[in-house]
Amino acid sequence: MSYHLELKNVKKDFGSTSIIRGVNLKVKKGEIHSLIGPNGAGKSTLYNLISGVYNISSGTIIFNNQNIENLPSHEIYRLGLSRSFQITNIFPKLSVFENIRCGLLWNLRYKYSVTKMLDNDSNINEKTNEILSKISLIDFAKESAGLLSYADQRALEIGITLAGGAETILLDEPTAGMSKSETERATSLIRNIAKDRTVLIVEHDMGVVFDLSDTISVLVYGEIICSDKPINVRNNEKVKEAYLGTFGN
Amino acid sequence: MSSLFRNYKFIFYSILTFILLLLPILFSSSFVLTLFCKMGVLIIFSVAYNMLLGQTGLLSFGHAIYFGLAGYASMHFLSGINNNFLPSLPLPFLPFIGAFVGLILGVSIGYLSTKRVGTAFAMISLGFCELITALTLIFVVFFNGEDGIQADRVTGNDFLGITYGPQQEVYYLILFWCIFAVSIMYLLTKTPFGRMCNAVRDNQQRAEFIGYDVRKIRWMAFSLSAMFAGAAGSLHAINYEHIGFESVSLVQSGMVLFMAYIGGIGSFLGPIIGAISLTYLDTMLSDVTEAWVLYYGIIFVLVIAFAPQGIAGLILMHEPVVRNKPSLLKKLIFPYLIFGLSILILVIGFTTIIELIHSLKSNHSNLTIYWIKISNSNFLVWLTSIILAILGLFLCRKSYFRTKEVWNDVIENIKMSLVK
Amino acid sequence: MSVEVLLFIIFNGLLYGMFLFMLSSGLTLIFGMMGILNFAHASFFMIGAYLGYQISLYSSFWIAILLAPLLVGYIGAMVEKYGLRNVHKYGHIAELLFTFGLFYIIEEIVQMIWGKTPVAYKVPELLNFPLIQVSGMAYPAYSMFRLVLSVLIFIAIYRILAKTKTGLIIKASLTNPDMVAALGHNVPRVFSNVFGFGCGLAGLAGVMAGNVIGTEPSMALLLGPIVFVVVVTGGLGSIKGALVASIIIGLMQTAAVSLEFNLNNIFQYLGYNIDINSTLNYFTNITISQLSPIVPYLLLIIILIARPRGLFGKRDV
Repeated sequence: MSYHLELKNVKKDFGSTSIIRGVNLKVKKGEIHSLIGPNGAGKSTLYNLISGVYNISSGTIIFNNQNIENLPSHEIYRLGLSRSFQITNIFPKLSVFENIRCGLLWNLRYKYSVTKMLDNDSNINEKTNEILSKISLIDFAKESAGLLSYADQRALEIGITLAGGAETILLDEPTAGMSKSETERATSLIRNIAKDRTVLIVEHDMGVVFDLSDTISVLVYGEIICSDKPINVRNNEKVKEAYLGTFGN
Repeated sequence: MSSLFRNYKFIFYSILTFILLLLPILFSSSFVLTLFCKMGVLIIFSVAYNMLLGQTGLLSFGHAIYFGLAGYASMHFLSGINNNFLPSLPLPFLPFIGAFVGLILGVSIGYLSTKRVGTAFAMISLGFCELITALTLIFVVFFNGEDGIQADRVTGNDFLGITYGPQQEVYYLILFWCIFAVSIMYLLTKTPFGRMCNAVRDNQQRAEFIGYDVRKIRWMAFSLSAMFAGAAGSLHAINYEHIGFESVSLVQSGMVLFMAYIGGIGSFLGPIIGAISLTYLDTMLSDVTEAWVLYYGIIFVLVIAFAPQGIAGLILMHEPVVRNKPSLLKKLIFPYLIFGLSILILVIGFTTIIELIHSLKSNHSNLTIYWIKISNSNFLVWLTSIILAILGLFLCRKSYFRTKEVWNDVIENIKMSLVK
Repeated sequence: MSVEVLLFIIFNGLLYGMFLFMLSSGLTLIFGMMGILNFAHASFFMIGAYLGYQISLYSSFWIAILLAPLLVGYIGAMVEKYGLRNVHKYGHIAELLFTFGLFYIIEEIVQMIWGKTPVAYKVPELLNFPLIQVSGMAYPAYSMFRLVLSVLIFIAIYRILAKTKTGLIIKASLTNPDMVAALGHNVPRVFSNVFGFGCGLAGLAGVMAGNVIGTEPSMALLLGPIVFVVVVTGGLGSIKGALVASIIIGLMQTAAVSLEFNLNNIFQYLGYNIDINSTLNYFTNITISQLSPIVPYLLLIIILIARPRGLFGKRDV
């Protein structure tokens, strides 16, 4: 069986330090796949490798039957793989509306056009409003994105990622730093967008992870030690050891 | 509501255009007309420059290259026409030549420079600026050294019966080009390319993750900005019928930077405001005072430290107040008045000191400042101006903080009303 | 090329290179630590030259060389404290712009006080005698004095950076500015001191060079950009890099100036003669020495595009 996204023996060294030491990861089409692991396990690095922020040291990354390792970020994105970031990553000086609209541009094939007038283009503006209501930010459309609250900025970021129309989305700690009610809102948003997409999540909140995921992979010291259904992961000895060991320290 | 608003805008711009068309009739002196022409050229140049600085977030110290070299090319083209060496091109089309030269240069130099951003980009642009300035003095055959080159704009080819001899006709030519170029640059900000320029400026990484090659965006912005700067350079050359090496130099690049920045790089109108006000002050004050560049520098530095969004930013920051609770503006009037008065006292005191010091260099001991005749040998004059300056500084500090307090109150008030 | 010419190039190149080092080393420190590319650095050099002139007018050169750099350093520290620090929150580009404005202001103030024409800043009598002869040219003792002093300065800075606590803090700030702040050092004060120290060095260079290259208001504009070339080529914050880059640029430019070589010579050698009345001749008769002013800027552009960390830098510009 071929997988939607597959990492084969991916390694990454920074100087003499190995951060990712041969990761094998298989993500099926249409699932919500969570990546968990203790701090410093290399989750963010792995995301940066998949999305082309860093080049890998060795191995292969296959997305939709295509090798994507070491491609520039924007080209990986164009193949249909989009991501959000751990640190809020929006366009702070642009309006909320403009943030989403920029996210739609490439998706709707506007490319580098210097002739199309966006304000008179009802197609893109309607789609923008659609997404804004999906992430419940329609009331703030005209505000400057940098002025939004933290939770709203995270929602906006997911909105930009959504706007790209990618069928596969990498989310990096989408609920970090959120209150309980904000987390609930984010979780339902993720469930909502995952209906017709493949979603890979890095998350620390185990409640969210076990609630959402179809598959959970556990990354410890740059290696995947287990990749299975939530119920099996919960009972996995190696996982218990890794987590309890870390907590014990 | 929106269409009504659009109608107002349309009426406003129609009236504005009408006034601009009437200006040569209202002011017939050639001095004023030359000033208007200069303003028109520099408006194009600074709006083009801001396409790079304000819209895309790239600071260039070498934008005069495209302005100046396009000017040289236009002058050569003009003398080519005059010598029957080149086919006759009607003068209104000459800026296309300049724009083309600017574009070619922008594409090639931009290809190299846009590999870097931030400080490194700024340094590369400075390197190119110095390089080209040095070349203008080396390749005498093309640039004619420090003298520069000149050409007669009256080619004898009367396009639609216009000779472009009189300054008035040049005014209309520049006016047309100014409206034409600025409109295109404005419309460009509304396109996917224009929006992505802002996105790249705000967050380069995110821009990559919505599918864009950020370098290509920067490169395009660079090239187009150089193209419009080229058109402006061409008009500059036509206006003066001369172009010299100083127009490619760091001084010219610095001037357009000052204009855009003081006017306000955050909005489209900013550079226009900057070009108009600084050209006006430049022309008016350079006759009156020798210390004009000093004042220029001080204004620039103060804007960077206290109003980084420039004049336009200062005006536009009131927009939320006007939109939501215009009645609150009343609260601001008094503090603004006091602050303005404090600045006035400081300016009078400070400039008098500077002018007094300058007058020491000359043989005259009498000078006229603010319509008052004073003597630099009079101790009381010195004392008064020093006291004024210190008093002004003190009042400025006080009223600055007071004004800021009131302003913060107003903004808080509006935020509260928005939450409800 | 004769040995005499080579000797001339090496000696003059070294002199010019060490002058460039004195001029730029301060900025290397400032840039490395604070990330501020001070556009007005050469202006502080100019202030140093003028103060050197003024003080030696009232007393002597030897008092000037001690006092003027201190004054310039103090002015620099004040500019940092009351000016730059307010702009810091808007980022490095705003800081760069601030110093760009400062550059204009200083030039105007200097003109206001000392006038537009050069002032008569003289080499001290004590050292104004020919000391050595290199390929037929006599060099006054003052040149040797400058050479020796700049080497001493290099050793001193190198030592300070390597051995003292301040040096440690500065070096640590080059790689981890935030960490140094987190460790409880008063980073703003360290910044002020480094900025002042860097400006003081430029001031010292001014006192030492103003009486040789001429003290006039345009000297900052002429030397300003070349300071950047040294700093960028040498690498962010690397004193060693600044030294090597200065000497390379010094040698390159002196060599270029002494080469009266042009394309015509090459064509002649290949057996073609270019008609001196042809248009082509306008380009082919340009000698390398005529092109020498562009050499440093070409270097700046190439380094920034190809190797933005410079020769010895640890971070990109």
